[in-house]
Amino acid sequence: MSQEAIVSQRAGPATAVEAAAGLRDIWWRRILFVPTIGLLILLAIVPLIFSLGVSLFNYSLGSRAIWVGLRNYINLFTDPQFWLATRITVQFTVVAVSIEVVLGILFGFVMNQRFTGMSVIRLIVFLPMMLAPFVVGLFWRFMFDQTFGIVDYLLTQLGLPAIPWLIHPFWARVAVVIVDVWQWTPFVTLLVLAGLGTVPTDLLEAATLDRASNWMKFRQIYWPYLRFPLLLALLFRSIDTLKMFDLPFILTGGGPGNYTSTLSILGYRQQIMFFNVGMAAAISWVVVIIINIVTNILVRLITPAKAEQVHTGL
Amino acid sequence: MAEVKVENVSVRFGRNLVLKEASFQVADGELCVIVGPSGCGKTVLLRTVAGLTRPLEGNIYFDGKLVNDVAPSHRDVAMCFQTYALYPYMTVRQNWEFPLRAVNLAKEEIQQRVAKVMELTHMEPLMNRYPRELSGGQQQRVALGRALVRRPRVFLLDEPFGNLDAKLRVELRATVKRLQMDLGITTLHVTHDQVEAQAMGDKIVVMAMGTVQQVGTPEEIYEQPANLFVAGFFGTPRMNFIPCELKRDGGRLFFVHPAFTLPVPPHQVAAVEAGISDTGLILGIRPENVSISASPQPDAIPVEVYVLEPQSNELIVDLAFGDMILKSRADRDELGFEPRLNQKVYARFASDFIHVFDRESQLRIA
Repeated sequence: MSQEAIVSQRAGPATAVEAAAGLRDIWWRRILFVPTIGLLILLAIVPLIFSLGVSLFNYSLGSRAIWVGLRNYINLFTDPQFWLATRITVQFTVVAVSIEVVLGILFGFVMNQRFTGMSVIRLIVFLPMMLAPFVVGLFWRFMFDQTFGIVDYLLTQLGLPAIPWLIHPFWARVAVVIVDVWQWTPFVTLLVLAGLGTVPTDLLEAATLDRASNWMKFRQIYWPYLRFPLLLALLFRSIDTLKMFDLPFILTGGGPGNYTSTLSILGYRQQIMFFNVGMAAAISWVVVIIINIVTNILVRLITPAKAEQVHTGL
Repeated sequence: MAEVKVENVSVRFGRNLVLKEASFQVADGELCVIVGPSGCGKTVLLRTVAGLTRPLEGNIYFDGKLVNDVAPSHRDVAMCFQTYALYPYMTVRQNWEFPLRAVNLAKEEIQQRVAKVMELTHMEPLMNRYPRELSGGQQQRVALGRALVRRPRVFLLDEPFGNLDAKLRVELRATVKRLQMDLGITTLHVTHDQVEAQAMGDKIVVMAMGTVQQVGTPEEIYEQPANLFVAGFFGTPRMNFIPCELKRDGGRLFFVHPAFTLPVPPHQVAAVEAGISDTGLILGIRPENVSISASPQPDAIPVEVYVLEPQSNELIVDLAFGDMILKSRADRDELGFEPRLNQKVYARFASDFIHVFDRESQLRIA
């Protein structure tokens, strides 16, 4: 008997007993979904709605919640500290992610070459990404130290002035960007490498024999295959940086002044230091909204025009 | 334009030696066809000439200059890939403009060249399509066109007609041959089709299992095949091979087969005597050199009609004798009678066209 015949025979329930078994089967399958959906509701959706609710109350831990409507948001938008934090968060995101993408593409192309020892180099390059941000923050704080740090030591050895890394409003922000770039460029590199792996060899060979310049090869051959991985990299990195908390928190504690305080640090302070849960919830909702806007813009910007779409397999 | 010389080129892929000491020379402006069954190393040979594959050993010269260490982009060759390798996000027009824009050609010149190739390949209605919107045959024409818009030193065409229907293939075959002649650009053309090789080549390089079997003009290859492989590869239907012994009788030499005894043609006696070993020989005769008649003839072999295959104006007749099948091909008009199935007829070999091969070494003796 052919396979098809067996399948078609099995397709419909032949007897009432089998039909009942089939029904039980369907219910059994649905029941198996309950824990997953339950956990999702409990851990993601309930807190989300709860936080949206809380952001509409004046609620300090331990005291009674008072309905204030949009007052938390109005207070937030009239607070210069909020605007400073927003500006700094956006600055970090734009600067750090731009540098990461450019360097990531560069490293991707370099590491796409094959020679002995490349696997070792890859391991070393990807190492920063595997470290916990807390650890990274700690040892960079050491390295940026003005008295004991190796960074300023090397700068003075080169005859350059020592830089007050973590205590100057400008240099503290530069330091945060440097560390973020150091830790997350490998991530972009990884995605670029994946994209480069999907470029068909014969296209490159054809372009070589057609005597295309390096720029033509990049723009016409590689780029269509890099668009999608780069979109992913941009999205992940932007979302991550817009939520940035741990790195500046450990490196500078948000200082000097508030010059490295991101929105997340601001929210943390409202909640943990001032017990102002309603305000903290409002801030986190602002972050969610900003991320949504940025994500939408990015997706629209980088989704290939129909003409340039290629199947990359990613 | 360049003279291409391939000298003892070997290529290794992993453990396999896929090309073994290939040597041949293509004169400036010549169209050289590299032909052989699939997997014989012809594409590898082409890629080595392009510089895309590094030879294990051996040298490649353009105009007498060693190009082993010249980068592929500096060899100035145009290649039509078997996989097409069309730029997927460019239209047909953009695909063709790409190699011309790469060398900053003037706009008018680009348009002129593209228009010319468009005409040659009949792509007018499809110029603004993307490769994925084209059929296999159309994509192949785009691939061929992308090579033809250029004026390189050497054209490298890898099965440029492999995916075309028979009608278009025959037409493009003539078009490309004429264009190549007009441009005078040295061309290496890879194909597995022996008819195409015969039709197009000024010179043919026959390959099998990674080695060059014979290099020569289409006539040389057809009339004096160097070995059994070459003899069997060219011609439709292929050459008849009949294992024979050699016998001397009263000062004359004879081919002896259980079913017949034939005198060795006088012009071949010396060569056969010089070349013969004890392993026996194989007599080769092309179907068109086997004539059949209804009545007995001198030196004719009695055979039986086994299968009749009418062609347009020809008739291919399978003739059974002993446990062998002998194929004969003749113009229907010149046959003189209408063969019937199972009819007893007489087959005669044109003595000027008998080929003799050594059974052991498979090499041509006479």
